[in-house]
Formats: sequence, C-alpha cells, structure tokens
Amino acid sequence: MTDGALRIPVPSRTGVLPRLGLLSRVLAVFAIAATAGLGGTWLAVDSGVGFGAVRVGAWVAHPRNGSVEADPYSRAVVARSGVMPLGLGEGLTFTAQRDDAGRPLVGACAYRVSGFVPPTRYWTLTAETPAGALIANPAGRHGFTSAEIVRGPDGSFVITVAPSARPGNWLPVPVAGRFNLVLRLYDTPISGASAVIDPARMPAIAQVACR
Amino acid sequence: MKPGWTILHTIALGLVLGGIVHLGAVLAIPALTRPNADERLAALAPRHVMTLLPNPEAGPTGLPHRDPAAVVAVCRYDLGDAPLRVRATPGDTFMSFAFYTPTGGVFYAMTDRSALRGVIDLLVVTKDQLEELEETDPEDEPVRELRLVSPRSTGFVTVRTLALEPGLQFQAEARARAASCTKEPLETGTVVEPPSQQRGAAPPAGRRHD
Repeated sequence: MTDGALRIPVPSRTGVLPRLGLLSRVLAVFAIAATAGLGGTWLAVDSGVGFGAVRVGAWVAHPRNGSVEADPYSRAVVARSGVMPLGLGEGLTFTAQRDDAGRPLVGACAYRVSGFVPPTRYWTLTAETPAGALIANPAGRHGFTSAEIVRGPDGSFVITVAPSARPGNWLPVPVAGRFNLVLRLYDTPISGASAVIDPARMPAIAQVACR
Repeated sequence: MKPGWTILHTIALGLVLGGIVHLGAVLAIPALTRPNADERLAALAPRHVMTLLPNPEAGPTGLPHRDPAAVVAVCRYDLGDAPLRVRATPGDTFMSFAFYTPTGGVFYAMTDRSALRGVIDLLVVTKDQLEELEETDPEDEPVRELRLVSPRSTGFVTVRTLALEPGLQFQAEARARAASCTKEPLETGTVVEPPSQQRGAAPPAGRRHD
C-alpha cells in the first residue's frame, strides 16, 4: 500500500505533466479537496457572507439573520461570531466597516457621520471593534441613542467619530486599528430583503482628516 | 487507471470534492461550534429563570456585538419536561422578545406592540406538546394565548429594553427583570395519551433536568 505513496512521479510520455501513482493521486485529490473545501469555508465565514444582504451606502444589514429564513452561510457566521442577532420582528442592525468612499474605518482618521435615520421607533449608533467589543475611552461613551443625540433644526444630526475629544456629538474610537459603526433600528417598519431604503435617509460617513 | 489521467484531472476532481466538503462544513458549523450561543449564556443564566445579562463593557467578552443602550434579560429553557410560560407587562414603553435556537438562530421575535391589553403572555412548546394541548382545548372557545413551537427542545428567550439615556438604566433593568419565564407542566391527568406516533425526538418527561 505504501509503495504508491513513496513512488516519485515519473514524467509522462508527453514530458509535460508527470503521471502519479494511484495512492498519490488519491492523496492529492483529498488534499486539494480538504484545502479548497475547508479553506473556502473559512474564508466565507470569516468575511461574513450571507444571502439577502441589504446594502445602503456604506451600511450593510442581514435581515434574514433574525428570522427562520437565515441561509446556511448566515447561520454559520452567526454561530461563529457569537452574536445574538436582533429578531426581524424586533429591529434591524446595520454595520458599516468602511466610509462612503469605500475606505476602511480606522482610528487614525476622523469621520463625520451625518444626516438622518430611516423611520424607526428608536435607534442607537455604536462604535465597536471588528470582533464586536466595545471600545474603552475616558468619556465612557460607546454610542448615541435617538433620545440623547443633539439635532439641528431640520432633525438631522452630526456625529464626529474620532479618537480625541471633539465639540458636539463626539463618538470616541481607538487611536489605532479598524473599527465598525453599528446602527440599530428598534421597532422599525423596515424589514426583509424587500426593503427599499433611500440612501439619503441613512447617515453619511465621510472622512474628515487623518493623522 | 486511464492513461490520460493527468494533474489537471487530479485538481479537477479535488475541487469537485472540495465543493462537497465546503457545503458539508458550512452546514455543520452551527452544530460543531463550541461554545454555542446557549453555552455562552450558561455561565451567566440558569435555565427557566429570567436573568439580566451583565451590562456590556469595553474589551473582549464572551458575548460580543452588544448594544450598550440595550438591557437584555435571558431565559434559557429545556422543554423536555414541560412547556415554558413567558409573561411580561411592557406597558407603553419599548420591550422586545426574541426566541433563539441553541446555536443563536432566531425563530420568532416581537415587540411590546404585540401585547394584548399591555400584557405579553405566550407558551413555548414542542410540536408534540402542541398536539397534546390542542386535544384538550375546548372546541367552542378560541385559544387566547400565543403558542410558539420551538424547533428544538432547548433554546433561549431574550427580553430587550432600552436605556436611551444613562439615567434610565435602572428603569430599563427593572422592566426587563419583571418579565418572567416558568415551566408550566401540561395538565395530562384527564387526557388519554396521544397515539404512539412519537418520532423519538421528545425525551420522556422527567428524564432531563438541570
């Protein structure tokens, strides 16, 4: 049995592709299958794929994660991340990993998060690490809620996201490394993948300055 | 052992098998992941008791992706012995409920807007328990309670309230804590055992306990 594995591949008659012994072929097939299959799985789950994602500007939501219609990829992502997703009947969670220009959100830059929020009874906007941890800061502030945000006369708001203190609505983030912004809409009429959200009703995320 | 077997064939076959491995792995992940959502909560909350989760704090925790403004109470359940009664009186303030499988999948969710006269009252049952209940239901009266079939015999319920300002934390916690969950055994005394069509899924009553 083992001689096949030890046999050195002999170049084929054509001289281009070596011919393999039976056992080496089987082992090679299994090795490729395991690498491609498990590697692909790791990549898919690590990147947080899932069907039925709702994308509005830089914001992404997975409404089906909060329902029995969650697809196998979403279920795997939820199981691995340890998140307890909001049920679709409770609300909807939007996450932004990037600004409106597509650049990753990093502590080295300051951002202006401004505008409006889709129709909802309450909302909260939170900064967290990519792993989902809240970010320690001297102000003890991890986010804003619809009740405490200071708004302009037209109902719009401006939040400055930066590592150092800013006037107005300041949301602290780490000095270094990436972070995510999470917008949770509680008791919102928006639900399901059929939801059409006007991008103008979602907060814009603009990079202001970088160190 | 076809003479035309080449590395390309090997790679192609490997990739096809890899696709199968991939699909199998994705499907198996929720069941294989340790700790799963229920096990993460096990250290914090006993079964059949509505328990406030600790407030999210900065830094890595066993429960990631929490909303710092949301107060969450959780009730882990095992329907092996008896259905679970969930009651709450949200009043006119926000309170939401989500029902999870042990791996963190949501199978039902609602808010206080579904409350009837300010009261949420529902019974979480297995499919077999629902059948048993329906046999004893009076024929001429509508069923007044909401009955929710849990896809698995174990799972957990969350009750969320919002502390929209830091000063409202205490009230939000009090409202979440006021929600209750208790085991409610079926009144099987007068009922003839349903025909033996059990699929072996429901463990015999009394065998499982924590």
